[in-house]
Amino acid sequence: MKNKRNILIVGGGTAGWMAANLFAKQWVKKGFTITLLESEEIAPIGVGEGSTPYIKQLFDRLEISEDEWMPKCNATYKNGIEFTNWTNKPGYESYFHPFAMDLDSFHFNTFKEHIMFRRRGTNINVHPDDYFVMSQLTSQNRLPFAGPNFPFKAHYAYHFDSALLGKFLKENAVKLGVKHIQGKVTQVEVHLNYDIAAVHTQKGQRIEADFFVDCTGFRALLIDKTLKVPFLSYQDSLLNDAAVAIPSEKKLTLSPKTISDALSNGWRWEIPLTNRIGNGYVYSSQHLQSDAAETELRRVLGEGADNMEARHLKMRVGRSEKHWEKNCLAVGLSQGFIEPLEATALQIVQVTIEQFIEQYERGKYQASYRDFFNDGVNAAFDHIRDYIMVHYLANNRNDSQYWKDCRGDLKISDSLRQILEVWSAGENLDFELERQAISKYYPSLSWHVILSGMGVFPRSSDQVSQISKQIEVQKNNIQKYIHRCLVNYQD
Amino acid sequence: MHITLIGNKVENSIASCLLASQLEEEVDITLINCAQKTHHRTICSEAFGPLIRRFLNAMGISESKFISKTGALPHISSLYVNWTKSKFHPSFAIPFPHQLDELKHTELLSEIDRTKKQGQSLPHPDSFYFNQVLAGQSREPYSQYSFPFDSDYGFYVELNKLSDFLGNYLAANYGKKLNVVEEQDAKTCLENSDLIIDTRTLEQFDSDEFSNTLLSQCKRAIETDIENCEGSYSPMQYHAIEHGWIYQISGQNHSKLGLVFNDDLSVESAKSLLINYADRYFGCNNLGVDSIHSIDYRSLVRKKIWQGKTLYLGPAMGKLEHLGSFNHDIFLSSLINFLALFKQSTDLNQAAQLYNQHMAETINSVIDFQLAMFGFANRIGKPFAFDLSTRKAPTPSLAHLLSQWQKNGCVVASDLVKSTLVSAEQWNALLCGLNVFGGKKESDQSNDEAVKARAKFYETCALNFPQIGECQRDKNEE
Repeated sequence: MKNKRNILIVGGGTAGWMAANLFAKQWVKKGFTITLLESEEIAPIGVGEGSTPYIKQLFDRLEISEDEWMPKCNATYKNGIEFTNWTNKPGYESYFHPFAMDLDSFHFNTFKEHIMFRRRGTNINVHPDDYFVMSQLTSQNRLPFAGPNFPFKAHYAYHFDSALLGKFLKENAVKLGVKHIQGKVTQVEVHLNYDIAAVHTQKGQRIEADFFVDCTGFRALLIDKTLKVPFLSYQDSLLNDAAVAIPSEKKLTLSPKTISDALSNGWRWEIPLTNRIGNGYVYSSQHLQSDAAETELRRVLGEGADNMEARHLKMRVGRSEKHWEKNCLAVGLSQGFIEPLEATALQIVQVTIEQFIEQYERGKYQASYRDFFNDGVNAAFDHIRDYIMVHYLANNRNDSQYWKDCRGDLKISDSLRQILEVWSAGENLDFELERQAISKYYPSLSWHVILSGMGVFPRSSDQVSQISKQIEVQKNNIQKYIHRCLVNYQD
Repeated sequence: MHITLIGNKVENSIASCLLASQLEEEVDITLINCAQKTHHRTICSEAFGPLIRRFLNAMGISESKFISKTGALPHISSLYVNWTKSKFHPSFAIPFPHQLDELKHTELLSEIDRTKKQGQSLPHPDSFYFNQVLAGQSREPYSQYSFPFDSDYGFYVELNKLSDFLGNYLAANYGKKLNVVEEQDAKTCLENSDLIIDTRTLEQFDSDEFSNTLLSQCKRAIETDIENCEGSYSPMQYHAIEHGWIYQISGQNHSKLGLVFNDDLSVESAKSLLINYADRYFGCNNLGVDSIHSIDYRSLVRKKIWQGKTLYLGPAMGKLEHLGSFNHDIFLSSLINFLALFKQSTDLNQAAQLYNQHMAETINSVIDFQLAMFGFANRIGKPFAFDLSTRKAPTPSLAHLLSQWQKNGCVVASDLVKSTLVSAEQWNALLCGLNVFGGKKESDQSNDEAVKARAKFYETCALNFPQIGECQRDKNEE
């Protein structure tokens, strides 16, 4: 990486500081200079307060313990996401999407078999909540930390105050040797070969670098405005483009889950922190005005949010055609955004940075490595979008035009169409996920949970067969197993 | 319908218990116990596999009661010593499967894959099997309520205690249902029976009715009982030696120790060898020559187990080689299968045909396993008949299994016949243990991070299992 040792990160939100930390950890000792330029005038958007288990690897990589960062960020643990009111099919009004744990692998095949029978019309009652230790742990507000003689691994994530996390990461990055400059970018200077040469700030500074990281949020100052990399909108697949966030007072009991509750024209998140609850309403501005969204959210939240200020956000949903172009890497909202339904935003940020480090080290500036990187990040975006889309396609609500439009004439990728066809035909979904090699984005568990949890099944036979009875016996055995496992977990 | 059971007390007790509890009232059962001729019995194995628990379950006998009345010890693993030349794992275990092994199966597959690609040997195969950890720490396979993972296991049982226990059980529960007839009145009774279940010890072996299933060149055996050191427990062991193999089966108070050997060794030399072994490996330094007796070691199986109106089970059916101690399991399997077919069937001739086919598969599955054990044993001057590393597998079913192993890196349940007594996990343990198709570049991998992590995980899990003899099953069973 000779002659490319000077990296400038433009923008200091969570994405910027994550990049600063990971680059510094990897490269400062090798003689790189990592600088982060942020503007005091531009407040970071703070993309959500939820995460996926992938984020644990960030703290592991940075050698930061939970005891160190969690209290400073008002963080709580997260076992998964509870989806409520996305359908009104009897028995399927809610379901829990659990994070994976070793204990749930033992009966996962049985779960899939039962689902397969139901998909083929057998008269049985199958709901994912009945099959997972993690789901039942969560329903009892327990964390996946067992006693010392029960050494089974569980994946979990966190809820946190993203502004505080940004602050924590900033302090850590500075400790790791990142140079922090304040200033608002007014101009971007490019070389004749269209590489970025330097940025100019309002204070008249000219800051040169070998490599630039665009963390300027939806403005996408470098990747879009300067390098003109096209932006591919997901608006024809996902309707939501706005959100309103209102905190509320904390509850007495902290629940280790995010709640995703469908409302009239979108959905509401509820994220418990140690000091407050983060709430928000993600909706389609085509279907609902911002003030109406705020009113509806306040009505749901009740008195706990009465004196809390609302914050309205617009979302640019889609992705950049390339995330690494010339000597610039886009990270965070500048590279794209999928609505926060599965709290994947920071995971994409992290994957982008980690993949960039790996491909940059392997291939330096070679185009083939850059293309490989871009293809990988694009695939992650598109497949996550597909999974998010299923939530909307599988709804059966008729209480607003919005929900009808969500299962209307939307653009569905070939990949998702094939998955849904396999599911409807009662064929083996794992084979299809394997054939498309997409389990790394969402594993088999997630696909089976969402489709069964939303009751995407054909009409079942009226007859109770011998198989139905056998399945009931197996379900009872799984319940006993789960009960025996739960004994090991404290409240 | 009139069924007569005639034969040895142990097999008769087991069979009559099962028949009396499972068959309808309209079936008359007569029991004729013959004087036991133990000197004619081929090696008297006392190890029962998981089918014994199925038997107990069918009878409604709790394991705690069974253990307290018979002194049975759990049988969860067998140890094979010196069957390979491996420097780093001269011994390996073939445990019964434990549910926890599923978690480490992916690791096993990737290790096998690596072995194939890089030519290195596997880490010690025992490290993949939880039951071997339990066996190594003398722990019960029966866990606490808060550790809900099941294991296959059987029991080591002293046959006389088992026989007494089942005799009492029969008298107390089915005394009225059974007609007990003295041996001298057997003839009339047998003539009047619709079906005879014969478990008598064989007197005549050399007839066309039998197939010779002896696999090794070892045709003679000696055997003795040794007292256990106080509190000691070890899993069943098979040690390959220059002229044959030594076996040891644990009991509550004593262990059975035997040597199966070829013609290169005289009986006197064999006895000296066994005495020497008992001292070196089994902590017995007072074994006398007189306490060791010779055994007529044969391996013969009746070609048709159900012939006309007679079903030959247990000793009357024949015996396989003692390696792996499958004979009692074959007996239990033959009995359970008979009951299933008998209850469904209206045509006994058709049932007999199906039954013989089914049992042939079961027996062949065990023979395949023993063939692989003898055939892949990688020893200098091996006393065994086969060398599969340079020859084709002698049976189509074994050839199929080995090709699946080579292709997929493991054996799975669908590669096996349905009626097999050997699980896919046991096949994998055998083929890994003998380093079949494995790399030749051996290295000590005990410090490998994955091996250490696996060991730590299993050792932590093992803490949930009581030491043998300290298990309170009653509490859990309730």
